[in-house]
Amino acid sequence: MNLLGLTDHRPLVALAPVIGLAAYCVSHVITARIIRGRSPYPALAIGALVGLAVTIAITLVACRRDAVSLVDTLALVGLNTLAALAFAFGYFNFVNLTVASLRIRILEELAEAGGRLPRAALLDRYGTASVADLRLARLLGGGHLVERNGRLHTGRLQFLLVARIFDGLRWLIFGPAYAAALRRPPAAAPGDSPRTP
Amino acid sequence: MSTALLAIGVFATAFLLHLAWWRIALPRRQTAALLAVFFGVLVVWLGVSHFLPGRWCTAADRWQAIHVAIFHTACALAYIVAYSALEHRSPSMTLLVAVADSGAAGCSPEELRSLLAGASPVEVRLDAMVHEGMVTRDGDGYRLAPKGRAWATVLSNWRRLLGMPPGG
Repeated sequence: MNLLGLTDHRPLVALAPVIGLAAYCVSHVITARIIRGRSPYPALAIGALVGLAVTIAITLVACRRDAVSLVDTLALVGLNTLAALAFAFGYFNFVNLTVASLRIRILEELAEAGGRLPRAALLDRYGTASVADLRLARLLGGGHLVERNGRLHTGRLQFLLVARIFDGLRWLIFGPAYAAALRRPPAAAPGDSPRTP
Repeated sequence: MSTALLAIGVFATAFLLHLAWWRIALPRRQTAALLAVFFGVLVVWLGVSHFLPGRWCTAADRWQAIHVAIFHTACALAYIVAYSALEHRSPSMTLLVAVADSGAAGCSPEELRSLLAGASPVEVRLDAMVHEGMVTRDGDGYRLAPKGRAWATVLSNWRRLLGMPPGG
């Protein structure tokens, strides 16, 4: 049996990560609407798993139809898994922009206010205290920080691990001096740039 | 196996080129420079594969070239997205690392608020949005520009489609 009447399944192998991304988007939208109102991240995780599964399944079936050797099949599955994860990361960040981006929130506030707001109103609405409090509430709610006797301690390690990996990458890409400067409070950090999302 | 080696080789070439450039001097428009490096290397490799076929470093056929291009595009875009978080440390990451670095003593909420006190994240973002043409200064306030309205509309509709609350 030939998939889609193809005699050569290499197009399916090559396009599997793109098809997986489409499956991610569709399954994410459906799941998000089913579990509407809760945290957006379970729907994103389910969508990512569906996309990854679709990518791997297409690659495996197409390789089998073309009688590709085991070593080559494993290499192609690995390559497409990496590509699917990379697409998933990009899509996650796009969706996360609508959840966590202060810039997008300000744009929406301006749109809802008829297109203009006084500077004082914006600074008052999104003052440093409210930004810090919002972040602290999210980190506590997600279990990344835990409170004991009025003081905050490290909780779940996933985000902290990401922060440490990023510190290592900064050291590699920008050099030790730039990375050390970033370890200072944000006001003094060279990366506190207008491009901050 | 050859497809995987080619794909990793093309991406590694672009990454090393980017690393060398950044260590010599940071480009002024970093995202644009990253796009130029990663997609420039891909275009050069596709050109070499088309005009000088049959070499160890070129694609054997059209579908291998497309496969490598899809892998490269996915990884390059993911890296460029991640890079924006490398340029600075986000407020949330700043708080997490400060708590971790404080050890067993931990931090009080006031200490963490003071850590972000000088950051003025709203002013930084408003200045950035003016710079990018998302909003314009209008006397003592800000006015939404067509570009900002378009972004707000697209992302708000996407968020509503997903049934998610406002962000920020």
